[in-house]
Formats: sequence, C-alpha cells, structure tokens
Amino acid sequence: MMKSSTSTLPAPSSLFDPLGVIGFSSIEAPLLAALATDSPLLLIGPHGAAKSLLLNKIAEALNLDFRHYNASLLNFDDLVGFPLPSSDGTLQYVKTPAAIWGAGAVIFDEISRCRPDIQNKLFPIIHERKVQGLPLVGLQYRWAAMNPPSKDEDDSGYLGSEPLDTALADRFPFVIDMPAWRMFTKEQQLAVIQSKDQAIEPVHAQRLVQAIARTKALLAQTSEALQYGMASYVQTMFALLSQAGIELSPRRCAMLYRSCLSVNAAALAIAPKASVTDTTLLALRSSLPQRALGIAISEVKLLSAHKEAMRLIQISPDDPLKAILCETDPVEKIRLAVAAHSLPKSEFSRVVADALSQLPLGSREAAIVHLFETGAVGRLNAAVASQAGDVYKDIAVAPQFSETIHATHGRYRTWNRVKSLLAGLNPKEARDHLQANTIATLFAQKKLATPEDAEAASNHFVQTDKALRFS
Amino acid sequence: MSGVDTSALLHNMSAPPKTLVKYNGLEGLTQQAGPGGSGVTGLKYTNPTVFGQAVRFVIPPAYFGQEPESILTLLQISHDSKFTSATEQLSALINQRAKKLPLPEGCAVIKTNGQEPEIWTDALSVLAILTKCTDTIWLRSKSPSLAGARNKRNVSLLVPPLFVQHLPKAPQ
Repeated sequence: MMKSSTSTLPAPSSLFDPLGVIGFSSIEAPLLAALATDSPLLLIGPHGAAKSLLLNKIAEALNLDFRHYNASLLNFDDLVGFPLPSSDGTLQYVKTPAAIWGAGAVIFDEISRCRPDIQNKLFPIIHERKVQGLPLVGLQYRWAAMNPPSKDEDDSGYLGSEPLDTALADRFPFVIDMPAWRMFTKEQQLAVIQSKDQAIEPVHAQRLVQAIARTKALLAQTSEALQYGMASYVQTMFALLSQAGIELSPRRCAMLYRSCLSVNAAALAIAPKASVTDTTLLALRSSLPQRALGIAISEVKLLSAHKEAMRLIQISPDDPLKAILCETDPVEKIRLAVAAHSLPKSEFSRVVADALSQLPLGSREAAIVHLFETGAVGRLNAAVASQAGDVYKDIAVAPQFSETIHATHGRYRTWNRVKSLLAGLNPKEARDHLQANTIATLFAQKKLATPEDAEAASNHFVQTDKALRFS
Repeated sequence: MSGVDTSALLHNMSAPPKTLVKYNGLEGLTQQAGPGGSGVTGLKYTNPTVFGQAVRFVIPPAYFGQEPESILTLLQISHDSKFTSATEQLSALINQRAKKLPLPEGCAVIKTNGQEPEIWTDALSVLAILTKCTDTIWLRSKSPSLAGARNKRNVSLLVPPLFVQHLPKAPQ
C-alpha cells in the first residue's frame, strides 16, 4: 500500500502504521521477530502490496545503511563492485556506492524473477552474510520480496515470477504473506488511498527500536517458558504436516522452533496478553517456505494440524497418543493404537478411522481383520466399528458372488489375474483364505479395475497382515 | 500340491517324458463357465470357510415386541426404586449381563442361516446382544437400545478364532 500521512491517523496502536505503511498489524509479530533475531525475511504478495515500501520504511526507521536491489535486473558486479588484482595477488573489489560492502541491510526485490546464476550468488549472502567467501561485516538484515510465483496448473501467479529454488527458500526463516486489501478495515483502506509521502517522525522510529529491544529481552524469558512446549509442537507439526502432504526439512523444523519462540516474544512485546495458541499459528504461517515454491497449502489441513499439535503440548511426553499421531505410516499407527489400551474411545476411533482412510485396498482389509482378531474393534465408537464390521463380514464369512461378463471386457482380464493369484495360495493356510476372500470381495465390489489393482491389493493384504501380526 | 497332469509322451522318443505339475491353490474356490462362442463368461466365487464361530441369539417368543415393564415382569424382577423407570432398570440389567458374556468387546453381525449354535438362550443374554447391535456390529460398551431391539427376533455374531476357546458349549 502507499505511504500515508501519519497526522490523519488515529492514535498509533500499530508499530508500522505510523511509519507510513498501513494495514500490517496482522503480521506485526513475525515482522518484529525477524527484526529482533536478525533473521532473513521474505515477503510475498501481489504488486502494490507495499512489500518494498515496508522494508524501505523499516530500514529508514532503524537508520540503517541499506541497499535496495532489483534482483531481476541485478548483475553480480552491481553487488560487489569491480574486481582488481592487488599487489599481494589477491582480488580487491572497487567499491561503488551501490555495492553491498558496508551495508547494514539489503533488500532483494523481485527475487523470484532473478536469473538462476544470480540466485545462486545471493544464496551465501542470505544464508551466511558472505559474498565470494568474504564476510559482509556490518550486514545485519537480509530481506527479499517477490510476487506469488506462477504455476503450470493455474494462472493465479505472476508470469515471470518463478518458484524460488527450494534450498534458497529454505534459508528464509520468515516467509510472510502480505495481508490482502480485502482484509483491511474501511478506515485502513481510506488511509491508504489518502496517504502522502512523509518523513518518519523520530518518535515513531524510536517506538520500533524499543519494540525490537523489548522483543529481544522477552525472547530469553519466553524461550525458557515455552521451550519444551514449542519443541513438542514443532515435532508434532513435522509429522502431521508430512501426513497431510506438506513436507518440511529438518532445518525448517529448527527454524520453525526458533520462529515460534521469537514470534511469541514479539507478540508479548506488542500486547502483553497475546494468546500463545494464536501467536504460534501466526508463527507457523510465517515460517512455511511452500508459498515461495508455488505450492499451495490447504488452510483446513494447516489449521487442523496446528490444533492437534497445540493439544499435544498439554499431554505427557510418555502419552502413547503422541507417538501415534507422530507416526506417518498408517499401518504402524493402527498397531500402536491397538497396543495402547489407555487410549480413550474417542481418540482410538479417530486414529483408526483416519489411518484406515489412508490405507490402500487390501491393506485396509488386513487392518480391519486385525481389529477384530484382537478384539480392539470393541474400543471403537459405533460409527467406525460399524464400517469395520461391514468390511470384516465379507472377508471372514463364507463370501460368494457370481457374475456374467463378456470375455472381451477388461474385467475378464482382471478376473484371470484374480484366479492366478488364488492359484498361488495354500488351501491349508487360514490367512491365505482371508487373502483370497479379500481379493474376491474387492473384485465383486468392482474396486479392482485392472489386473495390476488385483495384484497390488493382494500384496498389500499380505504386507499389512504380516506387519500387524508379527510386530 | 494338487492337480497333477501327465502329458502325453512326445513323438521324439529320445526326449525324456515331460510331466506338467499344476498347482491350483485356492483357485478351486472359483468357477468359470465359458467363454463360449458368444464370449459370455459366467464367474463364481464361493469360500465356505468361516473364520471363527458364528453364534446365534434368538429372543424367546414371549419377550418379542414387549415393553420394558413387561420384560421385567416376564423376568420376574420387581421394580427397584433406585431406578426412575423400567427402561433404566432393564438397561442396567442388560449392561450387567453383557459384561459377563465371554465374548470379545466387539463382534461382526453376520447374516443368519438358522444353523448357527445357540449358546445362550436366556432372555437377558439375548437382549444383551440384540440391544447393543447395529446391522453390522455388536459392541459390549454400546448403550442398550430397547426401542431399536423391539422388532429384532434374532441375530448372529461371528466370534473371531482367538476368542472361540472362551465360548461355552451350546446346550443340546
């Protein structure tokens, strides 16, 4: 958004409104956390969302010697100056006014439009404050901004804004989505529309400096108070997000942990009664690199994982529920849940229903057989148990079906594979009968579309049955 | 191994005779007619093996369709003032009985063919099953549904193999 005249605004409750950037109170805590911890910060938003303005204003308020580079136009010489051989045989750089040497903050705008070779050269600057192996003394802040990247499957992104390299994106502890215009209040929208370019008043700049100092001071306290809970939260989130198809690197987990602590400290510095639950969700949202990679994250999955992880903070580290929920293999999850007799019925039912829904054909049937054979089905609520019973009766009790099909039909080929699979089973082995019934039932229910489906279901049954019976 | 076929000797007498060993496994559970000239194929699968033991529960005729008050009367149990209603009192009795039945905590409900053994024939045991069943599952922990069971005459449960040893013998 555009600059605003601070004199037209109400009493400043936001740190950034008085700097002339309106409507960022929702991301104030992660911004402040990034500033207090000197962490690399990446802002993502559409054009005109005031990404560059925000970073420029922060640099101005903190009185930083900063360089603003447009990464899409950047040449490496612009960054380092011109290399000249010195008398001792090493290279010295002729420092131009725009070179990065001596800067307190750098802004790489349009980083997603930058050439791959330049992106590679930005990597050590962002990651370790070095260029060409030389330390950038005095460089405190590394910031970047980009438009949402374009994706092949839709046109919601910007043409030319490419997904960031995964390794580069993973070097930004804070990846923050800019608040959308529709999220602004009417007053904020009007303030943006009527804004004027004005210098930052020292009192407002000082307010930001003090907030950063308060956050730093509070960070030690919040780290002590929240360290166990946040570590547990991140550990659980890693597993839950992985189950939801959102993969995080171990490095990102460590970053997320630190972000959770620092964003909570920042939130307390802004509002002493800030909720840990809400703030941690904000920290999570501000720490996921997927947006920079052009990968959409389901809000429902994110919220449900957050809720679950927060809930698990409260429980003892020895509680089996934690191990169960952190387990990514649904078969192992069922095995652990069946073994955990102390699990309440509601939890047990939820875990089992969730795991069964993730299992492929054949595997699901074997897991249900296990639930009945161990008596664990009696620990399920009626709805989940009924569904399991519906499957089990078809496998365990003398199933039969008959059907007439044409020999040219694809189903006939599948049937022939079913027959050949049955031919490989031992009539004297009870488990083989269960396997045969499973394949035949799935075929009768038209769940096996191809011969390969039949083979896969048969293999899944055997693997899961073995995993559950012999573990 | 099954289905050993001996092939005819080859014309070349210098070659050793060949025997085709064919393993049918559980293929015998399937039957197939055709495909004939029309290309139509009849497929069939039947596995008579039952995993575990089916047990049938049949409500004694006098109890069928009765209200809780009448059932208590038939059971010769007088009203207990600690219960506010006959439904509550009968439910408590059913729960007590269900706890004592040596069945797993949950059993699949299967189609009855009338041939399964009736191990328990007393009304309270049968009610402990009928009132805690859905169409597919019996759960010991389920709250008894007396209204839901009123129109059920019988139900068959499948007791998984590991639990069969705990079942008493069916009365002759």
